Amino acid sequence: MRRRHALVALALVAWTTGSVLGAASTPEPAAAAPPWFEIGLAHAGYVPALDGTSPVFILFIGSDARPGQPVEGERTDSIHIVGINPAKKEASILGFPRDSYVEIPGHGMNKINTAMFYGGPDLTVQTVESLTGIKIAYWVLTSFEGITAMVNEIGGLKIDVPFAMHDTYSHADFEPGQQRMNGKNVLAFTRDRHSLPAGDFGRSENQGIVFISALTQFRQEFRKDPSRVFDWVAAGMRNVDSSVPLDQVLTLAFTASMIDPDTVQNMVVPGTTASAGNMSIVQLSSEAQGIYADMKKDGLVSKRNVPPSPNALPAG
Amino acid sequence: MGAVAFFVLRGSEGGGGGIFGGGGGNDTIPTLELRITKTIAVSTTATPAKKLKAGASSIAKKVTDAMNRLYTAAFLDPGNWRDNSYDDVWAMFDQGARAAAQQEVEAVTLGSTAGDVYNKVAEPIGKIEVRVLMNENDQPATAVAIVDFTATATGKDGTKTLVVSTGQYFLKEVSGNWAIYSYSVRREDHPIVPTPGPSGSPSTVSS
Repeated sequence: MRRRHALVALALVAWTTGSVLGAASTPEPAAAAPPWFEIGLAHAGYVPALDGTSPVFILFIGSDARPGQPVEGERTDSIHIVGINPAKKEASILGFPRDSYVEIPGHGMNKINTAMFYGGPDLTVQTVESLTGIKIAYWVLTSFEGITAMVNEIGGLKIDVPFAMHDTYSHADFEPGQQRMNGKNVLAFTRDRHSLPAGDFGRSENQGIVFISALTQFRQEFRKDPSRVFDWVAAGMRNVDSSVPLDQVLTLAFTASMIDPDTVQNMVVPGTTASAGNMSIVQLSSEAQGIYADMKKDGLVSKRNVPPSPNALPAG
Repeated sequence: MGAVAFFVLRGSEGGGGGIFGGGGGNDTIPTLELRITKTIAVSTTATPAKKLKAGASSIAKKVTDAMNRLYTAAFLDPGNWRDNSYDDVWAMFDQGARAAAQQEVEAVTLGSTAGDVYNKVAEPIGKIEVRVLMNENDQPATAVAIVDFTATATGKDGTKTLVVSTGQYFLKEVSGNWAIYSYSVRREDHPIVPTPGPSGSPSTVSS
C-alpha cells in the first residue's frame, strides 16, 4: 500500500476554458506529479450534446401575424435555416429575404413568405427543402407576441446594434452599440427594415444577430448555473410552436451550450430586387446554389462561399 | 472544459513514520438525509407552475432518494471507498454520462485512493433543491438536483478534512429509476484545523 504524508489543501486553482458541463480535463497521473504535492481533479461534468457526423438543420420561422391573428395563417417575416455541426460544435445561420421568388410546391412561383399562408410550417419546410436541397429536421415558429414574451421571460437580451436605427413602423429607436433590450425592443430590432441600408436583407441579418445574442447569453448563464437550461427551454416552449419534441429540445439546448457564438456564421442569401408582374420580389443570386450545397454537407459554409454582410454594404 | 485542481501536500514516499499506517476504521455506513430546501416546477405550457407543484414534489422525493443513494455510495460507504470500488455509483448514471463520470472519479466520488488516505468518513449533511421540468402534458419530464454536501473525513494520521461536494445532476426516469444523464460537480475539500476553544479546550474549524 502506498504511504503518504499528506496534510493540507494548499489552494484552489481554477481555470475556465470552456463549458462548466463540458468534458473535464484528464487528471494528472500521480506518477507525473511533483513529489511534494498531488493534483486531483475537483471539477467535472458531462453534457449530453448531439454527436455524430451528420449535420442537423432546423428551420426558424417568424410569422408576421399581429396579435389576435392566427400565427400559421399569415405570411412570414423571418425565415432562417440553422445548421448545426455536432462533431465540430459549430453552427451557421442562413436567412432568406422574405420576398425571395421561389417555387412553392403545389402553388407555382411566388414569394417564399407566402408558403406559410398556403400551407403553414410544413409547406414552408417543403419550400425551403425544395429550394436548397437541405433536409430540415425540425421547424420552430414564433410570432410577435411569442418573441416578445420569450425575451422577457429570459430577462431580456444584450444586442449589439450595428448602426443607428430609427423607424416609426417597427418602433425601432436605437443608437449603435451594445444594449440590453426587453422583448418589445428586440421585436422592434428584428422588424425594422426601413432604417437599414440594405432593407430586408439587413433585417434578416439582424434577426441572425438576435440568435447569436441569445446563444451568448444562454452560454454565460449555463456556465454559472446549468439548471438555467430549464428556464430557457420552458420560455421557448411556452412561446413558440414547433415540431421539436421536449427531449430533443433539451439535447439541442445542451448542444448549444457547447457552441462558441464567435464561430457562428450569420449569413443572408444574396439576391437583387426585381419585379414579377406587379409584385416587388427578390431574385436570389446564382451564388445561392453554392451556399446551399456547401451548407448541406456539414451544416457550415466554407469561407469562399460566405456572402458579404448586407449590413456592411454601402447605403443605396 | 472547465476544471479546478486542488493541491494536497504530502511527504515523501516511504520513510517518515507511516502516519497513514494501519487501518482501523469501522465499516458503518453513515446515514445521509439531504434536506429539501426548495422544489420548483418549471412549466412548459400556459399552466402556472404553482398548479404543477404537487407533481413536482413527488418527483423531488424520488430524486432526493436517488441523490442520497448516490452520495452514500460515492462518499460514505467504506465498502466502496476503501477499495476504489464505485460500481454502485456508476450504475446511477446513464450510458453517456457514466463513461465520463468513470473518468472523473476524483471529483465524483471520495477518490480512487481514499482507502489509502482516510480511516473514516462521518457526519454527512447536505441540502438539495429540485427543479422539475414539466412536459407538454404538464407531467414531469426531467429534473435537476442542486446538491450541497459535506462530510468529515478522518485521515489515517488523525487529521480531519471537510469533504465538500457541490453539484448539479440532471436526471430522468429510466425503467422506474432516476438516472443521471448530465452533471456538473465540484470538490472543494478543506482541512479542519484544531483551534483552541474559548475555555482553552481544543475545537476544530475548517479553514
